[in-house]
Amino acid sequence: MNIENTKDALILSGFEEFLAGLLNQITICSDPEVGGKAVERLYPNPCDEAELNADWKEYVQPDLKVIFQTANEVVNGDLACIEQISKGERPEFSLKIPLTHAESWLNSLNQARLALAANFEITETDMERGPKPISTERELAIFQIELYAFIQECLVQRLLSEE
Amino acid sequence: MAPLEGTLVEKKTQTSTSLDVPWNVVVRNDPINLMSYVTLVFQRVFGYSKERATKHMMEVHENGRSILWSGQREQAELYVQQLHGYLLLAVLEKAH
Repeated sequence: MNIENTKDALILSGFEEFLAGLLNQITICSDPEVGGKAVERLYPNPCDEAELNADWKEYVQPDLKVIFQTANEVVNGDLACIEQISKGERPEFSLKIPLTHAESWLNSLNQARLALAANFEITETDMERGPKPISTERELAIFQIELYAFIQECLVQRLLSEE
Repeated sequence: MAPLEGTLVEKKTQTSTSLDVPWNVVVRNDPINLMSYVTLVFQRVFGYSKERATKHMMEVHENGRSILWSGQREQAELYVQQLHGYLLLAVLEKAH
């Protein structure tokens, strides 16, 4: 995958269908309908007080849902524009992330990474070990977390360089 | 004075939180969140310099938690809400 910084965007290019497929799963990974432990992680309690936690669930979590959904909608819009840049046996693709969408991307990528980690019980040790062949769903989840982390890091560095 | 017969005496225990008691905004470690991302969020939410934000991020990373801010409960809740919007593991704690 190549990364190009232009004046107003981050462009990922030269990636194959497999990676394009994983990119298209960014917003699916954190879908609350999928449920599981991800929901717990995406909507944590703010303290140990039952009353405040109940209020939080009622009044704050709906706002958080809106933030997360809005970010996912922006990302889905950009993902819909993934372009095939070469044909042949192993076609290559390209994706443009406008800098004005960077905050939404950071949010969606983080939702996806945290949801995957929660659902597959990924630990710090899993994250620190070297690359392994993808032979299970769990291995695929670790690969996805790392792929999304790479894009997130590129966006963070770009945003920091703009400040 | 003894209560009248048949009068229900309610015992009330009132707990009150003094307005003066500060609340801490604490961020806990999460192995998935990127260090650079956490630093960026601290800069955005609290307006901290890169150095100060990095110091707190390292505290979270090395000690498992860092107190990012202390003050009135209402403001502390707003900060925690913002941090949850960025998907950080933030909690409110009464300062001791």
